[in-house]
Amino acid sequence: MRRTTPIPALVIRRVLAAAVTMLVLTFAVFTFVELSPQADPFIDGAHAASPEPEPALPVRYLRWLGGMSPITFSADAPIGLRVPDLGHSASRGRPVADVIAPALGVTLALNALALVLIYICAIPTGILAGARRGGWFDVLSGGAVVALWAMPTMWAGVLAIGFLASDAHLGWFPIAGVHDADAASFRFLPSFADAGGFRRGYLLDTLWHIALPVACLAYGGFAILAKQTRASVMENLHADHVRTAIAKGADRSGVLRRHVVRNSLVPIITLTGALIPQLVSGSVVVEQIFSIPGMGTLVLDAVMRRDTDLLMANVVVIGGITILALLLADIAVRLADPRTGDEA
Amino acid sequence: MPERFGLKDVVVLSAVALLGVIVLLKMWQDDRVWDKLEALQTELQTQREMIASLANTPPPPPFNPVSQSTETADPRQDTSWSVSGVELTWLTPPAHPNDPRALPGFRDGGTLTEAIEGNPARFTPYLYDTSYGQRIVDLVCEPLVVRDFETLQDRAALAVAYQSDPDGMWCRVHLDPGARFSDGSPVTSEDVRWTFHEFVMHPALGAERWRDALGVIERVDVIDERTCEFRFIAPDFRNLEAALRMLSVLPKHVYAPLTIKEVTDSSGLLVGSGPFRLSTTGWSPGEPVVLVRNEFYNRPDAPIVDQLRFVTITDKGARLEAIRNSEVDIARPTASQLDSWSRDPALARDHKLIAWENARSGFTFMTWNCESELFNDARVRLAMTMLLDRERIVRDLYNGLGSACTGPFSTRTGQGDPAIEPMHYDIDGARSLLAQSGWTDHDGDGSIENKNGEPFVFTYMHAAGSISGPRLGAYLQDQCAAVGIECRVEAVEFGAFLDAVRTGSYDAASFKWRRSSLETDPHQLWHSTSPDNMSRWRSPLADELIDRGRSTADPIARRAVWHELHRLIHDKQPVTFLVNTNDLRIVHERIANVHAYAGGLDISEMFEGAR
Repeated sequence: MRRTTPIPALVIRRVLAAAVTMLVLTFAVFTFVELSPQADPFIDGAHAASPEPEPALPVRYLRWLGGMSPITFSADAPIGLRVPDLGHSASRGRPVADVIAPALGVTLALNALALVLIYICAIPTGILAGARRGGWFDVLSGGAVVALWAMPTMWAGVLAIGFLASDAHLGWFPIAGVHDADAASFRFLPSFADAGGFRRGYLLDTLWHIALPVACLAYGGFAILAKQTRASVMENLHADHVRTAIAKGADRSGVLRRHVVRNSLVPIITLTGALIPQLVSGSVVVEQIFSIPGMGTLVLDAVMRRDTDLLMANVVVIGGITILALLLADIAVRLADPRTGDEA
Repeated sequence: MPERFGLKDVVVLSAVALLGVIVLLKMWQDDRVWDKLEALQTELQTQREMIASLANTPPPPPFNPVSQSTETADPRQDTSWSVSGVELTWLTPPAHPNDPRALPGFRDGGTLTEAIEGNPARFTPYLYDTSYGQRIVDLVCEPLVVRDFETLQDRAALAVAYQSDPDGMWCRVHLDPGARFSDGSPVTSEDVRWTFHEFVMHPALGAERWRDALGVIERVDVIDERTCEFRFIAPDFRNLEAALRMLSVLPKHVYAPLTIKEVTDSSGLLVGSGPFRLSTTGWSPGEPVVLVRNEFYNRPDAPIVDQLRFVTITDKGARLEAIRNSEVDIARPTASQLDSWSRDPALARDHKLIAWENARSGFTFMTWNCESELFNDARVRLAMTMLLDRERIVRDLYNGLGSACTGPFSTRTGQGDPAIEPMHYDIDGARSLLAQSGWTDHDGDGSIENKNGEPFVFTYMHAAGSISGPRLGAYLQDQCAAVGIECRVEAVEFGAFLDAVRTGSYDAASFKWRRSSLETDPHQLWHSTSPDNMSRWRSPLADELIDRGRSTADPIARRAVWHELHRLIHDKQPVTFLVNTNDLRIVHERIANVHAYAGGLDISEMFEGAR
């Protein structure tokens, strides 16, 4: 009989593995950034002679890591906790935490909405296609899914702006940003002005602005998840217990709901762990096309300006989000199906 | 066993529904509070405008003329602040080059929205790090003297008059008694002194570039409430530029109570006396920048529009779609975008497509590494210039939007010598010059070699991602092949590209350079001691001219020195000057009174027509 690890032990094991992954990741990025040439020697005073020779690269990395650590060691209290110091952004002259905080909020909101959209659209599509294999819906959705899968985000973004946002065609959506320039003066909810004109309000305005970026972020994940759901549903439809139930005359839709769909959800939950890194990396492109001030824009900016602290903090935050998502997916799978082995 | 809808489900669903109702009620309640706040803000704005109009209204004539203060009199009648025996320069008040009020359809107020390409990370004065930051600061803060957009002559800003030491060691400035910061408080000479000594020069403030540029000023002395005196370290042509046109004056009473950390950590801490002010006090990166008209700015060139918005649109295609959608009014296109719009009759009809040579417009050049064995001979560099047909480069690479360039100085400002003609495209002449310097085809294989039989092979390097770099490289390859030179083209990541040029590890590279001021300092690019001398051309004569020009206070005499330097650089061609690039804009048709001047577009004179 296969032995499964209890959830607390699983979490501890995964957290330790995540810590090692983060160390390797941050050291690799730190090395690349430190060894790359100066971005703009003509304006940033790169010619100024350094008063002291710089320590070796591993020492610099350990110093940076020391600043990042949430654990402190001192004579008074052997071990203490503190808020990690993400450093100071050289290109913006401000603490990195202050720079990242607003951008992180925007990116998380976009990705969370995209994730919800992916699941809302992909699961019914996959179930319908799998349950009616070979039918017109299966054929049509299969073709659409493959087309979406193959479409680069950059191209999709440009097409969306050109056809859906430009007044030369449909002009249904705004072109850039997350809300109107006047949004700060909007009421939160939609309303009608005294003269009878409709006012969107802050909430609707924001949703209207982020509709295209969220769609661009979501369509790739939708394609993957819909395909996976279809495959999973088809596999479960052929399971012995399902065929027995149908053979005994049980209601087909009831069998589908109680046995097929429930069992098909496990691989779908597993897939969340893979979707989140894809969404975060997709944000870089989408935020650039739609001029959204999120983490993607910040990463590009940090790379272009060789802002080590800002770039490293981005790597830590994005890496942390990805590892956390994988951990949560593992726990969710274990909760959904306690029989799952440690390799889940 | 069938699943039943039980009491537990009723309780859960009721709780969720209740939560939803509570959230909706909370939103509704917040909106009511919002409405109250909005009404309060409108009331405050009305009162603010009333106070501003009272402050800007001249007071009634005094009962006893003898007791009339200097503040209420015409400042030109008062010269008590000046140093006797030194020429006094009264400045002409600023004005719109084209008065919008005289035009049909003129409308006061409205909004103008401009698309910018990058996210300004911050626009705290002296701490911004992008051109967008500078643009916003320049609209909110003022120096003592500004340039007229059309004539480039000095116009009064915070100063109404100044005196300049004939030996170039000091400058005394008299401030406009009516000048007010956007909070209504008067601008005083103590604000000028404080801005320089305790803000810009504060060693803990990350304003090194400004400290370097304003480093020619030794100190600022307060003479009286409206008069201050700048003392300079040495006679230098940059002295007046630094004191009068670069130092934007900040309100001491706003900034002084803040710690340096608070200032450094701020993103949009911006208060000044310029034509606009920030619409809100708390701006953070990523939000659109909204400026509103400063009610206390009472000069004749006060802006017409009420509100100026800057919206970031990073994608160049999206910027143009935004202007087509009327989401923005002004955007900067690429040369090919402007060209394609000008070919579309509908787009050309509905928008103003503007290309002009700004006095601060940049130029592109091909720099030759003068320390390399290939390019240390001036005849070889002249031959390389003669190989390049710059008229064709302007036409094919820049869609005809530019002109052939002769040197580092603008001829529009007088710093460059207009008599210098671009070197002619002449392949035979180039071949002859190469032969004179020992490069001929000794073995008849079509390639030229030196006396040791080594072929002429060099690498042209451009920054990866550059639009014009690869096209220029392909053209250079063809032209070099015509005289038997092998040119290899290499695209290098931008940081590595700059590093290679800085350390001299290159043969040839192309650059775009923007003039930082109307009279540029040639020291950075051409003096042999400058670390930014990219071509590594070291000429004692050029060094002497640069040093002489910098220390010549008389502008006429200095201009002659710059012309001589221009001629020397042209004769020696340490770099091949390619194109004076144009500034490009697309402006929506509804924006009226749009004129391109040598000093740029004057956004203050534009007004909003019917949308």
